[in-house]
Parts: sequence; C-alpha cells; structure tokens
Amino acid sequence: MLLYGGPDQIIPLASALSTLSGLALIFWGKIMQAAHKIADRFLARIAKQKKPQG
Amino acid sequence: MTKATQQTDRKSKSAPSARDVLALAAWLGVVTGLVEADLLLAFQRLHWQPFSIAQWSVSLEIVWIAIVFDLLLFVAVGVTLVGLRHWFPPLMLVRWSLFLFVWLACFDWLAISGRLHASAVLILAAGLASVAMRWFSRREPSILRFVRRSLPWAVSTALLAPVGIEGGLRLKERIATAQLSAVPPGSPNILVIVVDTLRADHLSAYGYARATSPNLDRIARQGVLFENAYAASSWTLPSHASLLTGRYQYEYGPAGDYNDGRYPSLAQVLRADGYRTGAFSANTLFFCRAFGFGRGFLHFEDYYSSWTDMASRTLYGRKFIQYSRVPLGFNDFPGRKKASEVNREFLRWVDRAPGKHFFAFLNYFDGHRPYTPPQPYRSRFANSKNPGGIINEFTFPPQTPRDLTPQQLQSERDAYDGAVAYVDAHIGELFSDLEARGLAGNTLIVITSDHGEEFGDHGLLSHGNSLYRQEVQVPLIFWWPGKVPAGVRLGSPVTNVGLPATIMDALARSGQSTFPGPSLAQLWETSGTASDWPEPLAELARMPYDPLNRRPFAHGGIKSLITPRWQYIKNEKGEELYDWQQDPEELHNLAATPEGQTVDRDLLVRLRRIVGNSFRREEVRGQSQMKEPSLPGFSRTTASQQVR
Repeated sequence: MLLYGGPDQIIPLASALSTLSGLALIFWGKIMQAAHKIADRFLARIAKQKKPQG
Repeated sequence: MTKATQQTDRKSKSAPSARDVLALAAWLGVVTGLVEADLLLAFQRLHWQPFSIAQWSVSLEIVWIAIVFDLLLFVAVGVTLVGLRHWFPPLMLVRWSLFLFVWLACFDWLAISGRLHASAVLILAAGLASVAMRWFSRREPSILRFVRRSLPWAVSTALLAPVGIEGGLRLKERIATAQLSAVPPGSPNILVIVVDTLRADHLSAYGYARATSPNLDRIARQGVLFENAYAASSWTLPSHASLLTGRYQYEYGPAGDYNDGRYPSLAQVLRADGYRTGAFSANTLFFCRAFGFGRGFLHFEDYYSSWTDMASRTLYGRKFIQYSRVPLGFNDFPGRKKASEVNREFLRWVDRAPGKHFFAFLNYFDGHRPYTPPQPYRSRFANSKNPGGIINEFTFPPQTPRDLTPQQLQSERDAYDGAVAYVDAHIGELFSDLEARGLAGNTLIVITSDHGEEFGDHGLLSHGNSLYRQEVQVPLIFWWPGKVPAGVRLGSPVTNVGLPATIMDALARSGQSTFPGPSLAQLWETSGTASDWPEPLAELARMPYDPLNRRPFAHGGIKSLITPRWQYIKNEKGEELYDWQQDPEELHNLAATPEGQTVDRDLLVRLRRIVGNSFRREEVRGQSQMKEPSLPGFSRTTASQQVR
C-alpha cells in the first residue's frame, strides 16, 4: 500500500523501493546463498570464541 | 498395452509442449485483462491516477475490452514464441514463456497507477516473474494440468464477457426506459448541441468574413441568436457542468466536485419528467461518465466508438501510444470521434424507440486541437493542402505563439475554420435527418459551445488559459419552429448557464425552482428589453499544469464579470478592464485609467457580492499539491445568492 497510497512526491521513494525489491527477487537464490555463507561464518566465529572458555 | 508403455504414454501427454505455451498465453491473457480492468476502474474511482493516465477514462465495458485485447496480445506473443521452438527445448520454451507472460502481466498491473517510474516497474515485474518461474519449475506438471483443464473456462470468460456486459447494459436501459412516466402532452423533444471549442466570432452568423457556417446561419435566421453569449468557463469540464446544472463554478467547485450530486442535472429532471435521456460525446477527455456526467442519462456514448479507441484505453494501448506517437508522427487523439459518428450514434438511439420523447445532449469535438478535420474541409480556407496539426494536445510544456511562425499560426487558423465548416455541414445533415423522421417540427434545439479558442491573442493559444473574450464568448442559438420566434438577434450579454432554466420554461415548467433563472426566453419575449438582467460570470480555477507559469491562471483563480459595456477580469496579478463594445479584441486594458479605476471598484464589489471567498479554495485537482495564495480584495464574506 505504501507504493500506491501517497501523493506524487512519493514516486521517487516508491520507485527506488520497487527497484530494490525487483532486484532482490531476481537474485533471490544468490542473495540467500550469500546470506547463508555470512551467517555460517558468523556462527563459526562465535563457536570458536566460546571454545577456549570451555 | 504394457505398464512401461502406459507410463511412457502418460509422460508424453504431460510433457510440456508448444501447445502449453499457447494455453499459458490464453490463460494469463484473460487473467491479466480481468485484473487490469478492475484496477483501472478502482484507481479511477479513488482518483489515484495522475492526469497522464486518468485522461483516458474508462467505464464498465473496459472489463471485456481489457480481457479481449490482452488475450489477443498474449496469444500473439505465444504464437511468436512457438515459432522459435526449433531453437529451444520444449521445457525451456515453456518456462521462459511463463516468465515472459508473468512479466507482461505484472508490468501491466504495476504500471496502471502511474506512481512508479517505468524502469522500476520493469525491474519489479522481472523480479515477480522470476519468482513465478522458480515456483513453476518446482510444480510444473500440476500447474500445466491445471492450466489445460481450466483453459476452457478462461476462454469462455473472454467470449461471454462482452455479451454479458453489453447485453446487461442494454437490458438495464430498456427496463429503465419502459419505466419512464408519460411526458405531459404538447411537450417537445429537446436537443442540445455543444460544439466544443467553437468561438462565436469564427461563425459567419456572427460576422466572420469566411463562410464557415452556412447551415448555422440558416438555423439562426429561423430562430433566436444571442450575439453576446458567454460560457461559464474557458474549458470543458466546468463549462459542461454549468450547462447541465445551471450553476456556476463557485457554487459546485472547480472541477471534480461536479460529481457529488449536490445540484441536480437537467438530465435527471427531464428523466423524472418522462424523457428518454441520452448523451453522445466526442470529448471523451472530460465530458464523459468518469467525471460524473452520466447522472440522469439513460444512455451515454462516450468511449469505445472504435477499435482504436478501445485499444487506447487498455494499459498496453496507452503505452503504445505514449512511445510510438513521436516516431510515427502521430499527434491526434487515437480513435477521435467525428461529428458524423456522433450523429450516427444519436440517430441510431432515437430510431430504437420512435415515438418516445427524448432529451439528447451532443458534443462535437472536431474543432478541438489538433485542427485536422477531414478533407476537403481541412484545406477549404487554406493555401496549403494540409494546414493545421501543429498545435496539439500532447505537447508539454504547452505551446505558446512564440513557438510558431506567423505562417504556421495562420495555417492553424485556416484548419480550425475548416473544422468549423465540417461541423456546420454535419449539423445541417442532422437537421435534415430529423426532418426526414418527422421530428424537426417538435424539437427544441439549442446550439452553443463550452468555450472559445485563442490563436495568439493575448500571447496565448488554445483555451483554458484565461477569461478573455476569445475564450469565453460562444454562440447561442435557440430553434423551435412556431414556438421560438424566427430571425431574432439579441445583443444583451447573457450566459449559457441559463440553459436549464430556459428549457424548463419552454416546457412550461418554469414554476419549478430546480434551476436558477431567469429563463433566456424572457429576453426574446420582451425583445431584449428586460431590465436588471444579471450579468454573466465566467470563472477559471488555478491549474497545476503550467510549470513555466506563463499563463494567466498560473497566478491564481480568475473571475470575470461581463456588463453591457465592460468585461472586468480579476486575478491574483491584478485586474483588467476592457470596453468590449469598442475593443472586441480586448487589446487595451483600461484598468489603470481614471474612469477604469472607478469602474473597477464598482465591479469588484459586485463580483465579491456574488462569489465571496471562493478564490481561496479553487484549484483543479491534479498533480500539484501547492496551496493557492489568498487573493487581495476578497474577504471571508459568505456569498449571497445571485439573482439571475
């Protein structure tokens, strides 16, 4: 509704959000792969930091 | 058959094929059209569309039109893709076809609101199509099975929609017509003809040097002609609203408020009286159902008079026009309705119920820019073969006389006069057709215009810019053999806003107070000597469509009062005063002269008494959100009722 509910001044903002959303949907698989990789690395780092204490 | 053969057979039947591409095309085409139509109607209703989209208004028929056109478009794309099947394996062909069709559908729906940049729509639609393709690849057999099974339903929708909608509308009209009460005996038929954009001083009946209007001249000699009639505004929407309600703009609002039903329209009153009411409009920009003008009309023909007009109202039709217009050198309204078509629609409607009293309202659009009437009219008054066509609706920012050479400006005038002659010829044919049907003797016919046109006068082109005489003086002719006197010419300044009251008076219903008076008939009954005749008022709200602030309305709403000698114009910049009797071109502003200042003070008081503080609120609803500054000289006094 954000895209359609405002006056004309919202066009640039709505258009930018739409473009980002479209790109995200197109590259969804790659984005999720990258997100998983980053999450895995982050979790691995946390696990490494916890180990010496154990 | 062995089990292995059965499995192979089942697999080959469910394997994607080129036929599936066409099935997907048809299925998605129908769905796209259906959703597109709903969105067009909904956004129009909510006034969510910017003018660039809203100017191509739609009505209920768009449901079947969008379905049929999108179905044809998608199937055409599908056939093209099938033609490429030799380069793609069937599975890839089907998946990428689905991607393309979903992309087309999403682009269609997202572009309708007009509130996203085109590139954003393209990318978001591609994103959604990607999601659809990934989803399809995981459920392919079941989706294809569903599409194959439901395809007959989808195609049936496409075939039955036009029948259902058009048939339903016809049936509704027939039922409503059958329920009309009887019109009082002795009542005439009523025909109001509005020639859009017709300047009075370009008619030979009004002294123009060129013989542009032999038929109107003859009609005027057989009826009453008002030499100084004025429209309520200088553009279509408020002017037509005033013609149908008998109210001025300061009473009902600048443009979009006509729709709120505060004041009854002439069509509603006459329909309640038993008249079969019909409107036939060629100005589908503004005099159309989308702007509320359908109130009271049992039958309203505006859009969809041709396949081109229908296509131009679908989303892809609009996009095609938007992007191909310049390369193809096309600068006219797609599917523009000509006077001949308006006449045909009207007479076809009359012939469907012969003997039934009618009130019909016709709008001819041929004089509106671009001035491109058909030959031989286009070149009738010109030295060149194809004059006109330069001043058009689609130029932005709007053109000014400085953009044209003197020869080009003259060429535009020549083409405009050709358009006037074209309309005149078809008005003559209409009268002949009415006579042939035995209707002429018992029909009150009124011929007028909604506004005039400028050709470089005051540094302006076209209309809707100002309230100078060139834009607001209009023809006004009443014709009814035996009832309206013949050969009468009246010079008192009058407004065609008095039309509803005059018609009710002609029907001997002047006792009704539905429409403010007085009836213009009083003038021809008293030979134009009626005293204290109310002075015509013209108004123009501030428009948001002048980015360079070059036109008079850019400085705020304009009001004008016309007396038997003066035209007084008041706007944010100041005031103007013209002695229009001595200076009909209004070239000499007398506001600053000693006499002019005295007259200005008096006329400002009279104007303020009529319109009060309505300047403050008057801006045509559109893309601009700017507030209009207050107008000096106006206080927050309440408007008193103008006695007309």
